[in-house]
Amino acid sequence: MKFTKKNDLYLLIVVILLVLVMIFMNTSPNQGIIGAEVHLKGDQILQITKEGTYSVISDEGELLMNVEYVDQRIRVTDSSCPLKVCENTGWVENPNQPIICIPNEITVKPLGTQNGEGIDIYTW
Amino acid sequence: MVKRTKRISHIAILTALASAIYYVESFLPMPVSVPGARWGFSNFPLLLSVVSGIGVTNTLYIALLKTLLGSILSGRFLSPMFWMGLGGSLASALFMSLFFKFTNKFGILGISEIGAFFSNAVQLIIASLFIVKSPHIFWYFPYMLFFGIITAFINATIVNYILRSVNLDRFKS
Repeated sequence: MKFTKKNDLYLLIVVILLVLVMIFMNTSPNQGIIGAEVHLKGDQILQITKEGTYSVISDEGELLMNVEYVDQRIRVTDSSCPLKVCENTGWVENPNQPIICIPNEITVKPLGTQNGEGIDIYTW
Repeated sequence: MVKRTKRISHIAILTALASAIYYVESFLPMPVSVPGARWGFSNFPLLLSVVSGIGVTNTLYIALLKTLLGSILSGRFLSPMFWMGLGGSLASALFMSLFFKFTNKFGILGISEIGAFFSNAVQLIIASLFIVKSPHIFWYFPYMLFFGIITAFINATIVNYILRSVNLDRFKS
């Protein structure tokens, strides 16, 4: 079996174009956020509109993570998950970018400013 | 009888290889933070099984067993990441086998790219339907795809070198 054929190149170009288009769509409305919603297993458990640090607590009363909202940007600190992907995501100020913690099944969805809400990239 | 023994040894060798890599891979850091993502080097035994023409069923067995064994070794059994990994590797095994069997248009690299694409897509679909239950996780899709391209290239190169030195035709049943 051959390592590459001509079609492999076309496939690669299609996938790379797809990646570039999606990254462009992800980053296009880049302005500050006005708050965030925290979802645990699909249910909204917290609505953040004021600056400060919020704790996300599970049904059993266990601390899952702290969410910090300062200066129109948001981040996760002190998560109880093993790999800390949500902490390493860092500050988020793009209303399209969610912070997701797979082990704890939490989504932190930033809310965009009024004029930035017209574009919804998730319907493509 | 001989065929059956060959088939069992083939599945066993590739499963052992893949689950060991699955375990070691969890220590490798990811350069960007993408939730639930791994490098995916443990998919090269799957690719090897596909391109040596051993059959769809055997490849699916390897995909299932390597996720089971690898996740038991790394303590992730039945966790959300286990379900994502299981769906991803079964889907990539299935689509790689189908594209290998029914089209003769792709080389090893192309088959590997197809596997990476479907693995990433199915992982995100499982996460968005059953785990975080929100479609927003698709924001991370392009970054996963980009890393999928790199891993697919590395996996295809490894398989290419193995096929040069090992005659896998003797495993065909």
